Amino acid sequence: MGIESTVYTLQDWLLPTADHFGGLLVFFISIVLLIFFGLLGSAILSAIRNGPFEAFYSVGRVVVESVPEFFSISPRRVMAMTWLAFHEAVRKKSLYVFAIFLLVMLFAGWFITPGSSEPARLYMSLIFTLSKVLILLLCILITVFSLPKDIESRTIYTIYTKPVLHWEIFLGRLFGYIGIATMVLVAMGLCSYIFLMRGLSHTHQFDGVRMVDQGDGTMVHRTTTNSGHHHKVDIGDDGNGIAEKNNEHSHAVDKIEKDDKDETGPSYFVHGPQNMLRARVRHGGTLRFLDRAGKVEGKTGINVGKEWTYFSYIEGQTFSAAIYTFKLDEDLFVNDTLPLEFNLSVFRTTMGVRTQGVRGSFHFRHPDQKDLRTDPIPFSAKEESDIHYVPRELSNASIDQSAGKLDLLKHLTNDNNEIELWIQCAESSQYFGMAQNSVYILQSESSFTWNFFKCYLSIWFQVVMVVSFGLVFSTFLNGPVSGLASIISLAYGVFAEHLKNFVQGVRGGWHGGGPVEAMVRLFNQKNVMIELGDAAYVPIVKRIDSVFIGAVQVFVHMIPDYSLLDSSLFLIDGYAIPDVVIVQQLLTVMGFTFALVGTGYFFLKTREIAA
Amino acid sequence: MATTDTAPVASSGTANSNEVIIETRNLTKVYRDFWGRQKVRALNALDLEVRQGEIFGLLGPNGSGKSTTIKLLLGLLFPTSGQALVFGQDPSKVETKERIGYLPEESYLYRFLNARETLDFYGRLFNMSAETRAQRVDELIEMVGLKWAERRQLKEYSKGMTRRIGLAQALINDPDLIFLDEPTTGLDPIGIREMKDLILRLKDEGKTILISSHQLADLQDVADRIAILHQGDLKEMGRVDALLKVRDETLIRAKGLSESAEEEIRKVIEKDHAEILQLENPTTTLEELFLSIVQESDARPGRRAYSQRDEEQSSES
Repeated sequence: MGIESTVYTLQDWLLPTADHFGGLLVFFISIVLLIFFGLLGSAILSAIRNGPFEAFYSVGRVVVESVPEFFSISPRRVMAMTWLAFHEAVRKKSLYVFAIFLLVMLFAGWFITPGSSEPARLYMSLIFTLSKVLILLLCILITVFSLPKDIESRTIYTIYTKPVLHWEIFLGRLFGYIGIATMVLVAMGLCSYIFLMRGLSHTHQFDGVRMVDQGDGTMVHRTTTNSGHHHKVDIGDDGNGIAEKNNEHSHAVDKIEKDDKDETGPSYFVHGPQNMLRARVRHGGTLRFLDRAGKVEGKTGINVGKEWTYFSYIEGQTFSAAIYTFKLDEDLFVNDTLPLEFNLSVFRTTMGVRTQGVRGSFHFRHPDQKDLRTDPIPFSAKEESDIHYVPRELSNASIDQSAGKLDLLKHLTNDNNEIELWIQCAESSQYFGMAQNSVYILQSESSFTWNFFKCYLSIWFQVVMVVSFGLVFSTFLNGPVSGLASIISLAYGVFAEHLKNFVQGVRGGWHGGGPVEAMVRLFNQKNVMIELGDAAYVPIVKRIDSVFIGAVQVFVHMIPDYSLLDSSLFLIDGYAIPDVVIVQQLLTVMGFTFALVGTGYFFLKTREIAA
Repeated sequence: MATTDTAPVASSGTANSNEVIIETRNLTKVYRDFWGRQKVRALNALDLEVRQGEIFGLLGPNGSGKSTTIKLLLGLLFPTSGQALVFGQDPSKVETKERIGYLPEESYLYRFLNARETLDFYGRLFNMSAETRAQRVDELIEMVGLKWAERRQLKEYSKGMTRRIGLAQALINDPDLIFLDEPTTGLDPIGIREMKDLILRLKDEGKTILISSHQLADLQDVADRIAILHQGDLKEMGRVDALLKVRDETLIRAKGLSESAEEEIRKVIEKDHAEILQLENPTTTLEELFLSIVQESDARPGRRAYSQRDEEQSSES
């Protein structure tokens, strides 16, 4: 998840809405399907092997016993099994993974370019990728081999002959392995944090005397070059200054008062980097676009071709506009200004003036009374985060000279406290790209450390998923095969989003039909451009394909989408991970774990452990 | 099915000695391959009863079905047909498992734990307080003589030491019923003697014990009753002393017979004029009995061995 993701409120996420089923419904449908097909499949398999009567008895027995056994789970025995799994992992030297992590960290500095324009992104990408890969690999390795090895070496006999429920065997291992992975993850997190802080910490020297030619003849103050970059320094009237933003950070520069009168000129102290590690809390709105004639509104603007498809574009010097509707309240104002942050994409069809950004303007409007609006505020688009502190009171003198100043909250919001922000591009043949989450009101700055913790919490959720899946596989497969299955499910999970989108696309219209239609076309020698005709079998073929793609869609939704459990993009982009995202991830993991524990129980319960 | 002396041996246990602890009814186990085709019939319609306070021995060559029987009685395998009841319940029930102890054929224990951790872990699976558990662990380590090695990981243990700690884990819950699968394997002669003494001591405490063993001498020494299995069929079952009695031979020990009297032994026997000190059937060894059953079973598969004797025994009873 990241800036592209739509963050639903918990209620919208759980309950059905126009564009999705809602988490609760999906969960219950999945559970029902899992139980139904699980029992049906087992009954069929068992019937083939032992006859229908025996099959009915064995499947029925599991169903009847599972619930009372679930309620007889003893925390004492689960704790004992957890202790065993934890000790097993420790004694089998799982903690060595942390040593590998440390080793990579020690030499990581060699491979990170200090002069990178986005050092924080570089550092964080490295540590999150490394932490994730190592911890998930560790989870797969410790989970998939343990139970098959116990069964193979028959150690499990000594457990099975003790008063332990199958639930407890599964849960004990689950908690034990999650416990050890958590320990390693916490250690990794602490080291990563220290590595990040130390790696990004730097300062510069500034003497306040030396001026440097900027290249265009203007002379500016400049810091020394450290960590592959330098800053232009702007000294204020009070003698203190700021080393201006470069490489995504700035530095405060303080004048040092001296007692010694003999020394010439002031001295300056350059503080550590500022705003390098941010956790911006966004207050987003909803976006719609107005076409170039200014008449038709739509959800998307112009598609300019092979660009980041998340962005949609408006054309310069037309009536085209991107309109954001925000809910406004008093708390969003800081010192009577509204902090508005733009992250625009610019698509140039002409080069324009290279040293200048493409010009545009924005203004606010009342959502219901369209003529109640402010004067346009011009800006030059930067293709990075660009904050505008908009005064609370703005004039609309260019439209109505008699009117006084308009207060954004009092005069321009409707009954729902909504206000519209219109953004337009002022240069002909140039385009501004905008997306749902690229323009927002900067609500506040959250703690980076807390955000960092939340990001690791998301990795922990992935740990729980991988351990649960690995354990379920290991209840009916041998070690290497469970390992392979776990890796495939993880790899699938990483690409699940694309697959989901693909399947969704296919449902919209399948070019050339599904597998059955494709086979018919092969035999009839009809390529995909030719209509299949109106033979009697055609509706049947299409129906079968439709059921097939429906089943595929259900399947892709039953395998976890790990991209939903990855919050690192928020952190890397400098945004606070919304709490609701963490809650949704937690609920998702709980849902999957619940289903997986049940599945694991079923496999253990029906398995003849000594066969 | 004809059996020999199915009445239980008198036990010094306090509980009702007629209580049936283990019961199998027509217990059958067929192993199948992936496609459900029958691979081997490991156990065929076994009917068995083990009563409170008995030491019951399962005897049979490799693949005879004795391990399968124990696994079915422990719930590690599911019967293909028939029923296995332990304490009158399904063996997979937690309540059943609370009362049993199991020493596996090999000591399948967690090699990364030490002796104390092993016993403590297994103890945690039972409903006993931490103090009781600690006390029990101490007692058992002392009993199996591993005090000196209690902190060493089991992977460093010799086979005999592993058997001892395996036995200790089987007794951690002070079970009423103990399954011992090849209990003397890997033990030295002293260890074997100690194991036998321990088994007899457990019997004295009123425990019911089911032993499966290749060591015929061990069973002969300790078992009250034995069942001999071969190729999944029950071939013989009964009291050890009754089974070992050779009924078609007579042994006479006499004292003070003159040389001339020797001539008249036949007459003496016929007329009962000599002082007969001993007149009884000689006994064979369990080993001989076992081998003869196996040989006869191989020669005439499917037939119950010693059917003639069964008839005699039936008429006696």
